Amino acid sequence: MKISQPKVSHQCIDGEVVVINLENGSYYSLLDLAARLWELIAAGWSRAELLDLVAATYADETAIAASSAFLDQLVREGLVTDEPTEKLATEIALPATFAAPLLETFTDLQELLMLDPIHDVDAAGWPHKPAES
Amino acid sequence: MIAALSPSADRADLTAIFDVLAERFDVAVQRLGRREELLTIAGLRLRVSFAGDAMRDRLLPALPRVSASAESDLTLLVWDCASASLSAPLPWRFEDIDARGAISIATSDSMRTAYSVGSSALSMLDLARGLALFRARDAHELPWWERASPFRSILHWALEARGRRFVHAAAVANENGGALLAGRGGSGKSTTAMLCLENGFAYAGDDYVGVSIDDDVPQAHALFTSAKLSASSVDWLPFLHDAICVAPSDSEKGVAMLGERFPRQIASSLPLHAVIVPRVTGGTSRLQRISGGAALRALAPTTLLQLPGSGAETFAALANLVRRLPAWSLDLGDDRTEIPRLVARAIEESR
Repeated sequence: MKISQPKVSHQCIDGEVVVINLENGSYYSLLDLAARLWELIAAGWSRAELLDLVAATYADETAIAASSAFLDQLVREGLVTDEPTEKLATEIALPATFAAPLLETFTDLQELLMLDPIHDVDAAGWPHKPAES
Repeated sequence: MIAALSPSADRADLTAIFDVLAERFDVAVQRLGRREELLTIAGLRLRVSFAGDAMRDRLLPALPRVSASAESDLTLLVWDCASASLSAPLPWRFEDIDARGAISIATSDSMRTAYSVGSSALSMLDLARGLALFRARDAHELPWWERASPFRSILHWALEARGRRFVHAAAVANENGGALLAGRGGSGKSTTAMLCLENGFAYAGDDYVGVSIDDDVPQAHALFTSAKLSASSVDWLPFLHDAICVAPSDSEKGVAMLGERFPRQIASSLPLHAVIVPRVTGGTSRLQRISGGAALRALAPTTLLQLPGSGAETFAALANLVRRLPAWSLDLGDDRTEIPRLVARAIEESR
């Protein structure tokens, strides 16, 4: 899998991965298993490799379905693709106990962006926001 | 008329377009006269050349009045087309402007370009020649936020090139050290910074500051000497009434200019020992340690989404800053006297 750079950027701090989509203003918090799966995606692991690791780590029979659904959600949000990419050496261990990976989503800053802007172009060609009626 | 750029525009094309725009500035100067100011902002020695008074009167009050040498790192040409009776179309298509205002086809290793739809203002920076321009449609239409924090894109690009970061945060300090106040608009960082100012803290900004991250102790640098005030916060801050130059309304913030009112407390730089994330809660004010991730979520997205062209490198720099500083949440309660005390406690316990 591959992170949708450069529109998506991420940083890991104190075990939490913070992800931002610079095109639509959404940002995300990933903890525990979600954060570790993200870091493995950043290291170029494929979906099959990720799910194999989940299956090998957890006896919980819901682990694969929950992890697969999480990966689907990342793709739906436009954060990653299933495109293969170069795999980097990494030593990331999954949490010992399974808990379903979660993508906490924040959309409160989308107003900062000029999303689908409503604008006029005046006679001189200047795009600008129309006066509020 | 300036021809539209093709997506393959090279540096020579961009330089030519910059120069055509700069020639329009010269025409504006012929009609309106030149007003020149030498300023030092976050270590950047800036020669700001205004065509006429309209833009100068609106934008200069928010800039630090630190005297500068005759040498400058950057010359910034500032004019508005309406005052000079100039008609100048945008040299690019509206579709070329991305969601953060950046115009990528007018960006190269040394050229940066952005357009603010809200201000109808074009910003360009030519790093190779140390030249920048800020062209607005009409000085009289500049929104309050442009008057409170002018030239944001240009300062962001110029500071980044010098290893400093333009950050959406407030910064205050007392004798024990300083704190960065991080959070989206409306989180209470401006009110917190103002209450600290009232209680004798040094102040480097209520909304945007420059930050140098790689120093032994990270530093915040003042970019603007303004403060943004909501209608509800004005009642909390009666000591600022004399400094208000744009009154807030129910829908828009107001602006206070602090440079003349509090000259001794405006710090050009101050040290940072903590990140504090305020939020308006009412009730009892409360200070709590939070994770670095929570602090980064309060600081980075709101910064990155306001800076045209910023991305992974800026995000990494902000994460490095947060890794170096203890992080706190500050619930802003109803007792205004308690808030500066809790900021002071966070600084003291972070040392």
